[in-house]
Amino acid sequence: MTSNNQKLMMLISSVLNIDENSINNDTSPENTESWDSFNALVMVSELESEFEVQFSIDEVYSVSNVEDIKNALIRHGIIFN
Amino acid sequence: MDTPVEVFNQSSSESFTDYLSLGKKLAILNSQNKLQIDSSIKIAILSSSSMNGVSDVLVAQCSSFNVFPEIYTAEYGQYAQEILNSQSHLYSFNPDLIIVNIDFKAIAESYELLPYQKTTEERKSWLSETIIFFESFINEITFKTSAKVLLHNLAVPIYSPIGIIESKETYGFLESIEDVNRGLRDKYKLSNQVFIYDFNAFCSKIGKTNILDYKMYYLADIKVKTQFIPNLCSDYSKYIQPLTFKTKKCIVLDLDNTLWGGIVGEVGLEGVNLGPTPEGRSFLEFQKKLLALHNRGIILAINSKNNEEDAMNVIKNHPYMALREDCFAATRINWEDKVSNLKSLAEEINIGLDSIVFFDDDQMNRDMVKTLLPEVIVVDLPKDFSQYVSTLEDLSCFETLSLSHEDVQRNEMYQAEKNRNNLLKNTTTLSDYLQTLNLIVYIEEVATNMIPRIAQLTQKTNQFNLTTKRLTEEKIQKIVNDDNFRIISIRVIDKFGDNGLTGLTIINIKDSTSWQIETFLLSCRVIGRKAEEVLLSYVINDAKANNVKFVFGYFFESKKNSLVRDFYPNNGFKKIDGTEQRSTWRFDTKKTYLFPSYIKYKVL
Repeated sequence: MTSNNQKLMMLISSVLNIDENSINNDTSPENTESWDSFNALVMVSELESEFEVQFSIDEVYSVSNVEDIKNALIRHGIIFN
Repeated sequence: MDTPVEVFNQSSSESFTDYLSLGKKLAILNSQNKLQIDSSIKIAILSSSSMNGVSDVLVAQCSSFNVFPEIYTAEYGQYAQEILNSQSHLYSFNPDLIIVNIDFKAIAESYELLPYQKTTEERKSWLSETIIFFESFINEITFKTSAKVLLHNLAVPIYSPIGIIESKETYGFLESIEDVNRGLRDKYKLSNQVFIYDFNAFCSKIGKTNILDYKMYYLADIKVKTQFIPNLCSDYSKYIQPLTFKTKKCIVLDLDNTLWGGIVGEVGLEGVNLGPTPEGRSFLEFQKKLLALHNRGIILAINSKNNEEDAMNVIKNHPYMALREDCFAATRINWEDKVSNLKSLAEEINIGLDSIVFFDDDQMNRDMVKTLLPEVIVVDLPKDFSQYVSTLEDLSCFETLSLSHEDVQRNEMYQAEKNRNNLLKNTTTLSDYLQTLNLIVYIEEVATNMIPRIAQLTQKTNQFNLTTKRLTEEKIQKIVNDDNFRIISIRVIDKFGDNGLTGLTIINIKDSTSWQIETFLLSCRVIGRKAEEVLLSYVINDAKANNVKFVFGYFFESKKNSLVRDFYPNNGFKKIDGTEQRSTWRFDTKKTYLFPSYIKYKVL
């Protein structure tokens, strides 16, 4: 079975059109050109349907890198090993 | 170098992000000149809310039918400036299609939030003001361009503050929005430039509670959730396909487990599933949906591995068969492979393989056709036959922007062609055959109501087309209004039926001593009956009557028109200039031009 971490990496890689191996906790709009405001929203939509969660506007605003995304998912009960 | 459809076939195209990256990939290939583009269209998108992503997804979806569109998306909310300013990028971009998406919330936010702050009278005047608002923008566009316009109607909300008694209001909030939609539809019913896109129906299909995510709306003014953008673009594609002449004309059907359940060779007529049972209804309704398409002009044909006798017995005698023998323009019921059958069907019906959609329940047959005839659309019929109807309804490749008289009559014409071929088998020489057809050719100067068909003929005719000039309806209209030109059409009728408007010529008569035949073409369904000689004879004799000394004709070689390479020399024209590829021919009107005596003609 695909782990949640793998799912997340695949999702980010497909939305941002970047290599999975280049993604780490510090990946952010500052160091990733394709992470623009529109793709950020696409990512929110895709995360919501992939992990069956709903983020609040506050949560959307609080995300500034991949680690924040993981933490937000953890708060919604998604487990990362 | 790949074509767009080849790139499409190499990519996955399931989700919004798949489409997004495919669209970006195509754009990059194009910018590096690595895309072989055969067909393009310029599309402008004007919207009151964010259309982010639409452009990429649309590029991706158009690649599925081998079109690479050039898209200009105006800044959202800037539609008024774009439309009203004749110097705007909208007009310098010179689009073929303009999509106008002005949504209800954008033009009536306070009405949407506080609908019953307006009085009944105010709601009524809101209705008429809103229609005028749309009309004035559309008028500006149609005044300044000849682009087709696709105008979204308004999504009718599902919420009213007065709840279940909304329908008791003298003139309700929701009613007023429905009336805008009704008003817009009525206003543009007869227009061949402006089309109303039923955005309200689109939202209903997706589900109005699903389509808008308030979070995305507040964050970024996104009113169609990104995951549904592919559905929206697929609706837009329904308009793009006919505009780029990608509409399919013919459905080729397998029989066993496609038109009926079971294998007739094993279970016989009594054993097949067709009729008022749960299994039988799947097939019965599927047949009726196909019949409805047939009635609007889609050609049907059969490609089945069977004993012809067994299969025809069901088609002719089964009480619940909705598609009878006369619904099929041609049939191949034999033990040949499906690919050869498809090729010979295309030849008999006289259409390209790229006009065919193929239905077969057998995966192996489908794969073989997909591999060997990539230009044929192969429908992936689901294993569960109860899903056949919805599979058929989901196809968007039969869309046309208008139904011409010929579209509706086409199937009768193909049926008559089948009878003609039978007659041909029973007569000895071609001229005997032509005489028994009782041909009558009606010659007519083109009138305005014939323009859509004339444009269609110039766009679609490949084989019998001397110059292959493709003309739009707008261009034909200009020619009709120009005294320097004449357009003469022919309608061919024989004892089996009316073939409709099937040939035409456009002549430049500016010079009173020599006329120039700029376009001369004949639809393939009447090739071989010398109707073209009637038309040419009419032109030459009319030239003579007007003291015109010479009639000039041109041959421009195309990939498909070798049939008419010798048309002018065979008809007494002398070559005066040119090469194999482009040549000029002249007829001296001192000579007489005879045409076959067995064809009657009438000038209307």
